[in-house]
Amino acid sequence: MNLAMILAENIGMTYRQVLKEIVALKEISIEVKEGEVFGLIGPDGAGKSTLFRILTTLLLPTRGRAFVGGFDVIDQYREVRNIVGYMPGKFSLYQDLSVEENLHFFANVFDTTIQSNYDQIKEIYEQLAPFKNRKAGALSGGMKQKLGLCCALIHKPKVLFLDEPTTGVDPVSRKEFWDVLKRLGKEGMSVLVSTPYMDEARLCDRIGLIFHGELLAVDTPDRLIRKHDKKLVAFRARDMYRLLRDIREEPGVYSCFTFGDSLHTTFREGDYPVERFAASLREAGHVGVEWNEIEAGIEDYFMMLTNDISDGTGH
Amino acid sequence: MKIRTFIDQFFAFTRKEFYHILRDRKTLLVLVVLPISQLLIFGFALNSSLTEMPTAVLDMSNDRMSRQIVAEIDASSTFKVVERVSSMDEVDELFKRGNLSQVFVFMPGFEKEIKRTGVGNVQVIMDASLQINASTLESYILATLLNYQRKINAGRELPIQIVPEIKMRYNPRLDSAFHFVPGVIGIVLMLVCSMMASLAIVKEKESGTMEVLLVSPVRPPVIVLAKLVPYLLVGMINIVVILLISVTVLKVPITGNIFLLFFIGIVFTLSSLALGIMVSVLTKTQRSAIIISIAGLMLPAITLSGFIFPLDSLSLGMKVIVHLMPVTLFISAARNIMIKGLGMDAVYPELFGLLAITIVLIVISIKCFKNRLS
Repeated sequence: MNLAMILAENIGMTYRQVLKEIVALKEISIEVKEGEVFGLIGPDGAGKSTLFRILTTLLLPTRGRAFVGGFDVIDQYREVRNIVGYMPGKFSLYQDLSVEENLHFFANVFDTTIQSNYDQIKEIYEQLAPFKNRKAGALSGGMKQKLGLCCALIHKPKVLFLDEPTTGVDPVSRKEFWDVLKRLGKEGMSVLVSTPYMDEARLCDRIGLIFHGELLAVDTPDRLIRKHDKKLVAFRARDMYRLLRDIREEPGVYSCFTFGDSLHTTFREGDYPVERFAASLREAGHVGVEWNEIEAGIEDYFMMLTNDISDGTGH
Repeated sequence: MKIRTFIDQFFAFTRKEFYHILRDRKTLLVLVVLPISQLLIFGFALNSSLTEMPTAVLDMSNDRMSRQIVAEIDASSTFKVVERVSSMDEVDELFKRGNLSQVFVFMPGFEKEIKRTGVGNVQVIMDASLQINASTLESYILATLLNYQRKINAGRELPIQIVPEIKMRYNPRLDSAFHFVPGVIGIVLMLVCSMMASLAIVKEKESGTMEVLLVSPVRPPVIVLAKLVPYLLVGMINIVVILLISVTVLKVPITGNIFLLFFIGIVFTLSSLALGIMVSVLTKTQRSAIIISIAGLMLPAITLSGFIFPLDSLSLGMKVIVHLMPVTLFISAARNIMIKGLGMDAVYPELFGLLAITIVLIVISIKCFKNRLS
């Protein structure tokens, strides 16, 4: 159980364009063990897809080395391609082929048959079965992703790479998707999955927070949340936009972000008098100001980490 | 890689490519209709209706039958007898003045000869400098004489035959009229095959499916070769349709072996596909693939293949270069078979040239196939 199925050492990636260089990844090192579901969490443009493409042998990194299943992704790319399943962020199956034809095709490509690996995909394929004669292009977003997962799993890969598999998928399908990933991990498959949704982070064995091409933290979700050491308060008022502006102007506030229907606010000092601040907000003309102290989530920790890099506004 | 795996993957890919082609009805329609319409547009130009073509008669027999035939010719809307001459010198004079399309010559004792042998010869001398007209007029002459023959044979025990002996002046081999047709076949085939093949692989790069294919055990030869198969079949259907139209609508006689022509057509189709596939492998977007196949493949094919301009005037270096284009070799071979009626002996250099170019192009395509995204 301690075998590193994915091992990246100081991976760096710089895209050279005519007039500028774009640094997509700087010094990324991760290790994913056998049977581990590793989540790569970060906003769009953080470099998640680039890292996926390097690990799946599609791109050559400008720095560092990486191994998948013990094979070097640069020199032994053929071996790597035999043992991995990859689902790109963009839907990449044949839209003009039916569900069944797509699956057949990919089974053949991997020198296997649907029958011999049916147990692997049964759980998902049963949901697709009613639509098996429908063209892949005519499927709903969730169904497309399920088909994508089926095609990536058809050859029982040792390592599975899923680049934002749940983006644009309804909540029910997302849950089903994660149930499958959990099962795959239990069965010994290593899964590297990226997502922009922080709520999915809790479902991974370990997560890595990635931002602007940098890996900010790697740990289990619980331990990461515990690392959030600042007082966290949720504010609500009638005029949320003005509230956000006014809270950010308060010097004692470390960060403030919109989070669902409230504003998650952290303070520089643990004993900051929140009630007095709330009273001053009411005096400033805010109607319906409410506040309560809350437990931090992954996103709060992520915001705290990125607050140092960005200017406190998330940009 | 195991051979069986290779074959399995190859068939899976081929089947997939067939699905792509057959389900994209609009493109399929274009692939089949485009060559037909191109040929028909050309055929229409070839068969432009000709009326009241100035005709002279040199009747040295001047009997009942010759007069009847002249009347028959004059009565048709195509010909108009403008002059009756009495010697060949006068015929030459009229041709030189340039206002004569053809002259009918009846040798002395025309009817007597028919009564004796059952066969009468009418000599027709045509101005073939307007090649397109000449070939059409030739068929009208035949039709008019046949018509007369049928009339007088009605109720006759021993049928008689009127045989025209047609001689071309100024352009006895009727060069470009028929020469044009193998050229059109070559250009049309290349247009369809190279264009569709040039999109085949780059389309997968654009849609993202290539990303999934690359992260799989499948090797470039499978991807490249499997792309060729369904397109080759479309190409073969096109060859059959094009040859049928050439024979039935354009009235181009295929004097040589039609199977040899078909075979060379297939090899040529394959080389055009290989050319397109190479473009597809080397480009990143469908747009650039189309631009390259139009500017880089079609323009040289039209201007430098001998389709429009004869190749005799080119310098030796250019000659070598233009003969590296598959379409040049095909047009030359097709002319030899269709018009000159030559056999395998005459076209094997072209045939082997085409095969060699095809193999080289396919090898380049496989070698240049990018195993990674950039």
